[in-house]
Amino acid sequence: MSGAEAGAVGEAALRCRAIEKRFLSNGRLDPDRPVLAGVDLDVPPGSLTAVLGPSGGGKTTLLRIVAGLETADAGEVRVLGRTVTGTGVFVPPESRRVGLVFQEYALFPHLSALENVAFGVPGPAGLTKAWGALQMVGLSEVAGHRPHELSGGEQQRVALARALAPEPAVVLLDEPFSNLDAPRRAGVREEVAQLLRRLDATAVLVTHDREEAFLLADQVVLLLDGRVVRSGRPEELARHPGSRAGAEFLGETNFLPGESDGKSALCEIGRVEILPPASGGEPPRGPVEVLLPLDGLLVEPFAEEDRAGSAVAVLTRAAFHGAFQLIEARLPSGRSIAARSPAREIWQGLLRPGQRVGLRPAGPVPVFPA
Amino acid sequence: MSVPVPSIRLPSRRLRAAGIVVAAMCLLPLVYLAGRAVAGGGLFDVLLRERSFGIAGRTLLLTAAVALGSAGLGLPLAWLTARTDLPGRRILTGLLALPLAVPSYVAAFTVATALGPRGLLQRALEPFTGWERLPEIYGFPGAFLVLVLLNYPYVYLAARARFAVMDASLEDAARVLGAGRWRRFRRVTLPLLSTALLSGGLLAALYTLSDFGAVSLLRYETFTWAIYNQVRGSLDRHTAAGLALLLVFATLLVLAAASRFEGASRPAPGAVQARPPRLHRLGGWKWAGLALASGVLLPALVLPVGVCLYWLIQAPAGAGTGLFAALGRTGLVSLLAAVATTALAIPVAFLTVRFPSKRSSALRAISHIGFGLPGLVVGLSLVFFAVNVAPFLYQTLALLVFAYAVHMLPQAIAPVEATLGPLSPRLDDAARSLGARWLRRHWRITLPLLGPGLASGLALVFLTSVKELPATLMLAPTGYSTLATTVWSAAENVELGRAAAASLVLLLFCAATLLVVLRPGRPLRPAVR
Repeated sequence: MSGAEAGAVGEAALRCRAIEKRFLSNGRLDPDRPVLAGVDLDVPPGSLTAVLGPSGGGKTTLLRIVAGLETADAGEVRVLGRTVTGTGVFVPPESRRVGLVFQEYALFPHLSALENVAFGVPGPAGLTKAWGALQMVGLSEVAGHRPHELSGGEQQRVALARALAPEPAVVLLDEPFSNLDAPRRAGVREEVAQLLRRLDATAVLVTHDREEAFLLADQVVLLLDGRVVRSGRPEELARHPGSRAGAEFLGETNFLPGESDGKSALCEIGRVEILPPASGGEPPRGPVEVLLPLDGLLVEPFAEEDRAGSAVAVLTRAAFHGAFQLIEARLPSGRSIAARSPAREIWQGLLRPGQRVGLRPAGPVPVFPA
Repeated sequence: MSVPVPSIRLPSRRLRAAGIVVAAMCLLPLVYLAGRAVAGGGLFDVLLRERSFGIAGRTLLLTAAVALGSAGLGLPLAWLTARTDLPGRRILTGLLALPLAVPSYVAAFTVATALGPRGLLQRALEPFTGWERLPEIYGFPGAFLVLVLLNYPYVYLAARARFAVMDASLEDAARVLGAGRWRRFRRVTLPLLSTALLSGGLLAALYTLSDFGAVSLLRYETFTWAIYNQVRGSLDRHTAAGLALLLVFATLLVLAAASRFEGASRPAPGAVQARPPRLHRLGGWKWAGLALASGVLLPALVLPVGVCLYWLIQAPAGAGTGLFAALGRTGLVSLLAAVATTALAIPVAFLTVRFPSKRSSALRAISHIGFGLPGLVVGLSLVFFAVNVAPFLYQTLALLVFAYAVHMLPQAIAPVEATLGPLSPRLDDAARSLGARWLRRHWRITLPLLGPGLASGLALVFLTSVKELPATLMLAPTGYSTLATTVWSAAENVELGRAAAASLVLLLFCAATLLVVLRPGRPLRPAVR
């Protein structure tokens, strides 16, 4: 294995290729219900990757396959260049060097916090290591407490310390913040992300929360219906969600029908520039759907001289949220379109229902074949 | 797309193999018995004999009478202790459940020697009344009396539990609607109690069907005693097998009848206690209540212990010879049975709790067959099996332990299932992802967490094994007399001192075991799924 590791300088710490998984329903393989349909995933060493998608989209199954708690029907998983799941290869979870933080933490209820952390690092040296891990998450004071005597956030940190103590090649976190109440969540996830970065750990975080994924991760992988729709840096995803379904999941966007000539598209608000597809290649031509994000639209009181790329719409609703104003406008065709104006634009004067406004995108926008 | 549920994951090969082994073990007695009874022609012979109908009739009569009698005694006692201001009801509540722990053969021989036509009571009364005989106790009256006194706690406990969760405002509602006391009881309270009466009555009926100790010592020929006599007296195994199969049918009949009623009388959803009930003031009636409670406890608890002590004092020297050895043998075989049964219960509990499917519910049903079979039938079928198929097993301790395990498996399964249920399967996944192999995972995580369930499984099976009589009589190696068989054979041979001494040792042993088991331990909060 050393040769593979030596040659793996540029290789990802975790690499999944064409992972497929179907579940039995009524004792039979259901061909129409793949949970994972050819999933690729590359996690560079020392980075945090978020797998983002709706519940039931296959995220947890992917994690369990990587951890070895589930087998894959096809595909390959490599950890530090070593194949752990593949054709004829299955390394059991206990020998994979893959750490896992469970959604419900799964702390051993009969063991103290320290004993929980020490479970993965047997021997006297392990105890020192476990103590260190517990200190690292700031919980050395409750080392002797049983899980039920700890708060939700403390349990979460014990679970993280337990997963990190054996120094896994990659640590997987399954919806780690979903069991925390909202006010505490923001603080805890910030701490966890900082800790992972400080340790230079390679981590995969599974979440259904767009904000969480964008905020914490270096790389976001959008997983819908068992397929990777898009992967990239958070801002890349925000700009181009990969597909119409991806855009719908991420939300906060409008779709307008249009006609593309490969460089720009003509739609009801005017002619808009096209962003090249995320996968590379040529933008679609002919009838398309134009994606207009809520935050990517400039809303201006209608000036008399009509400019290209700016259409006249009538405001139907304008809700002032303090930091921004959420507006809805009706286009000449009767279609509705929504946009969000930041406060600094509002300071020039709030928009009022009934007002006529011009709308244009702040930059090139993605289009999808209609 | 729906979220994949855990049930579509498959149990490991190791676990499946264990499940199949347990199922085969549990099916062996019944299948072998049925095969012998039908193929050997025993069932046919038995069905043609007039005597069989007498046996069947007596069995069903006694079963129905004991079930009704237990309900008639258990219900008022439950009401008295749960819903009235009966003096001393705290202590009475516990005492009234204790007769469950008295083995039927102990109760039978003490009742017979005390209340028989020329028993202790007659001797005590004769100087004053001149009565030379009391009414006959052998036969139906004695068997009925003893079995009701030992079985009413089933109804009593079930009814008490139901009273505890019964919403008192329902009775108040009926009152406001103008219902009188009797109408309230008949239309509101009684229907709410019906499940408790039914489940308690069912347990009493099943106990009666399978009881051997009381009917044999009190000479009332039901199936169990008739079967035993066939085997021991005439060595006619075909007839015994036929009778045993008929007894199995009778058991199925009772179970089927009970499940028919059960569906119709489920408590309404949400019928939980909203308000603690007001206690009825008994006033002058409290004396009647106390008389009833003591009228039950006297013959059910005080009499067995008192009569045993009396016979012990009267006993000739040497009545206690060999009792220590019997105690040791009882402890050994019961310990082996407890360990084996609990070990077998673990895979069954894992399969039913972690992998619910048609197959695992079938396994669960199969594992309960031996429990439904009277101990005598389990013992008999294993005697047949050993004699014909596995002679090397005949008269070995292994076969006796096997019989106990098959007969008592559900007693160990239930507590293990109950502890396993709330444990998240993720704990095992977590241990795996932390690098723990099979042995370390189960040693460090599964076993400690299952600890309380395993302990109560072990204790229940141990206690039941200590008291078990008929299977032990059929299967124990020659000379391997336990406390139970010592009591029974001494009572049969009218060595009353010896029977009394063995009974007292047995009762003390059970009480001591209970005390050890029930000692307060550190409560462990389970990890919630």
